[in-house]
Amino acid sequence: MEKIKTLKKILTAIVLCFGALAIVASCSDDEKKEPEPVIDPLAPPAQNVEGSYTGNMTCAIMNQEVSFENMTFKFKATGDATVDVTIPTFSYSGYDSPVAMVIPEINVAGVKVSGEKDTYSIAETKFEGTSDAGKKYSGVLKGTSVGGQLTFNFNLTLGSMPMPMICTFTGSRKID
Amino acid sequence: MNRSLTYIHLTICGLLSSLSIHAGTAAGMTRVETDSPFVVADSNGDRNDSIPEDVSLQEVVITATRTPKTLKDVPVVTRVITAEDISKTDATNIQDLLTEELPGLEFGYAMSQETSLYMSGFGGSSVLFLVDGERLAGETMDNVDYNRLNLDNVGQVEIVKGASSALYGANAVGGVVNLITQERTEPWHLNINGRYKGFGNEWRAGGDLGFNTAKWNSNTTVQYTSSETVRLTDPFDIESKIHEVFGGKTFNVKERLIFRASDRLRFIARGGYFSRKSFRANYDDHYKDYTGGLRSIWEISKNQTLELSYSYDQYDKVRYVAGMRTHDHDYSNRQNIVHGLYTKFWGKNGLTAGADFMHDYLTSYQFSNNDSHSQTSIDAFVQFDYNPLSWLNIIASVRDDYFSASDKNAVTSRLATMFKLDPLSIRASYSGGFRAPTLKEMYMSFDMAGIMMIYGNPNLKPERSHNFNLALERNGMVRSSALEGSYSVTMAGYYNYYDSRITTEDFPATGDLEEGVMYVNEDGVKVMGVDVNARYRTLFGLGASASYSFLHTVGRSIDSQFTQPRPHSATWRLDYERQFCKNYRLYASISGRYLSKPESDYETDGAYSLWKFTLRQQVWKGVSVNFIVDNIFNYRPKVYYWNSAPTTGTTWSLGLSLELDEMF
Repeated sequence: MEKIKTLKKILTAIVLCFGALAIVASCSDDEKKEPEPVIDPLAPPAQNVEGSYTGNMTCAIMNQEVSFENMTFKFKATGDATVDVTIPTFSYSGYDSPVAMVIPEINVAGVKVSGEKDTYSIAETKFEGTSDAGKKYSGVLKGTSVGGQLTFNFNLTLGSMPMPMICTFTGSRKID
Repeated sequence: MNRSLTYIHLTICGLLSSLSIHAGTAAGMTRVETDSPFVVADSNGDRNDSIPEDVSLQEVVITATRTPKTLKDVPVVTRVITAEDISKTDATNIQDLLTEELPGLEFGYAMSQETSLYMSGFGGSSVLFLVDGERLAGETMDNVDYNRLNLDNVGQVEIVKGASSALYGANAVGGVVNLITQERTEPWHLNINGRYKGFGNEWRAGGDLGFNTAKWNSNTTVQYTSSETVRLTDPFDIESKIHEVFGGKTFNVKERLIFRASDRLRFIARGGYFSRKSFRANYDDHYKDYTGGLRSIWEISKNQTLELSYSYDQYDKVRYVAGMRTHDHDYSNRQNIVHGLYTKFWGKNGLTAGADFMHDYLTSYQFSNNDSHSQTSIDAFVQFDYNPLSWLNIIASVRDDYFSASDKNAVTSRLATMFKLDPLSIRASYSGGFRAPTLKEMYMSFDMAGIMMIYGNPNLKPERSHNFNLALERNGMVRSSALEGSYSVTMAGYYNYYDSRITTEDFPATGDLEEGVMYVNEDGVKVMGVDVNARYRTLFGLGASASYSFLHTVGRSIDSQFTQPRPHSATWRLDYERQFCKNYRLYASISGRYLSKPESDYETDGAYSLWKFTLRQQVWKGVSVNFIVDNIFNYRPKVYYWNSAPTTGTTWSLGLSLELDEMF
């Protein structure tokens, strides 16, 4: 009889342990799916800007506006107050032109960031370069990040475009 | 007040007289006649007042009739900007000058930041620009490269509004602008000048060297300019159409050599080289022009003249990326032109007959496979200048032009009359205008940076205009008053019917051609307006002038995003000029211009006015200093449209001009 009581206690303990394990396991899965962005007030600005931002973008040439969804811009900290910015590739087709203009992925290094708490500014920075296809590009970028929400503007002239393309991106931060 | 002015005057002149003596120049009592017709002074600065003739009306003009006539006698309203006017504006090129001097005329920007022109209801392609009566090759957006037309050694600029195709053929639909080189008479002449302008850190340096003997007359001009790119507005401003004005460099050298073989025969040879670099965002565009020509003028008798001339003009454009020529934007326009002009007078009546041959060649990146096209045009014209009465002048002309590319003729005519009914002069005229489609408009096939396709149309008809003009002019002197001086008032009304205007319209995809725009003819444009000019100048050197232009368009007038009609525009100037003593002369002015809001279906610029202060001092023999404050009320457009004033607010410039021949 004593042995049976002991066996029941052991089985109950095993069941409780598995149950607790299942609960812990399921909680862990949830955290992996939606991690909260961490803003560390004591960390340098670049660390609090670093990450991938996914959201929507509008680009305009001569007031002809085109929208893009689910774009991802990347920021990588390279110092306490500098980040490298990656503007993703996309295709622009305005004025009902049958020929889409392909904007290459653009990397801009050494962009200065500043700010504190949860508000950061990405300094207005000129950039220029040459795409893999051999086209020269140039432009200006700037942005702000408030609580992990990024508003990012860039002005881009690709090749012999007669006027710049002006884009505005808004997106939410994810930590890579 | 008068005492203090006198004191300042004596102080300045005393100081400068001392400087003159130290420099070894005697400041004698010789009477000095200044360039200005209204200011006569001795070396002490005492005025020798006399009632001056309004010599501005004695200017000899040639553009309106192709024969020399004084401004007061020419039966077609002509606006003259003299060399003195040019030096007062300190303009670098014709664009700067016309912007400041003429209401109803507006330069703006177009695609790729080429320059667009709008004049009294017409686009730039409908205004013919000439240098000493010769056409120019090349085009930027809709006319020639205005940077080529610098103003060193330009004696005067003549502007004839309205059609003049009966004398000048194609392109003279809306008007003619003729830059006339001056022929100096001094044994030698050397000018060196420079200017710094705050807008774009612009530097200008130039010179003008000439000599004159019994047989030979030579004049060489050189000009160099450089400017940096200027940002007009925030780079992320999505409302503005233009964000920055690109910097660049120009170099321009011209030579004109006159050989007087006899009293009745002379030859004029000319040559020139022009280079411009425009620094764009990702590339540099280089423009070059080579020009040359030879003209003979034979006075067969006292009443007969025969002119024969040949001219060549080549305008090239190429693109460079990172210092390497790309060859994907090569462009070359070459024109060979032969002219003949015969003039005969019987008393006051004259006959002018002429013929021209032009071969026009164009190869362009805007053609399929960088192809080339050419066309030949031949024309003949005749004009009769009839003066049956002392107060009546009638001029009639007719011309036929043939163009090989379209295999089409264009016949145009003009009838101009002038009635001198003291104190009024009345001018009334009809004139026809036309513009043949350019090779670009006929054969273009161009993908504009992946944004849109532009197609030419070989079936285009020539543009045509019918211009009716009525002008009243009154000139006179005001005597026996504190404001003793001369005045001139002109009021001109015009009506233009403008047919088959060449423009672009949307083109749907068909067959092998993608969707885009295509050049087409458009009918039914009517333009009418009134121009009023008034000038007054007192004997003591105070002057005032104002010009107003009203424009009304009906039908499908020019209304593109680049150029739009502004119903009201005006220019004005209040100035004071005086020779205080032999070595010190002062010119100060407040000038400005006003443009009303354009009438347009597009979002466009608003009304604005710009004011300018000019202070020009001749501080020693041949040494002049110009100081200019432009946009003195710090105007800045809220949105920079293509036709907005390209200004970032108040700016200034400082210039120095040395007439070395006057120093020795």
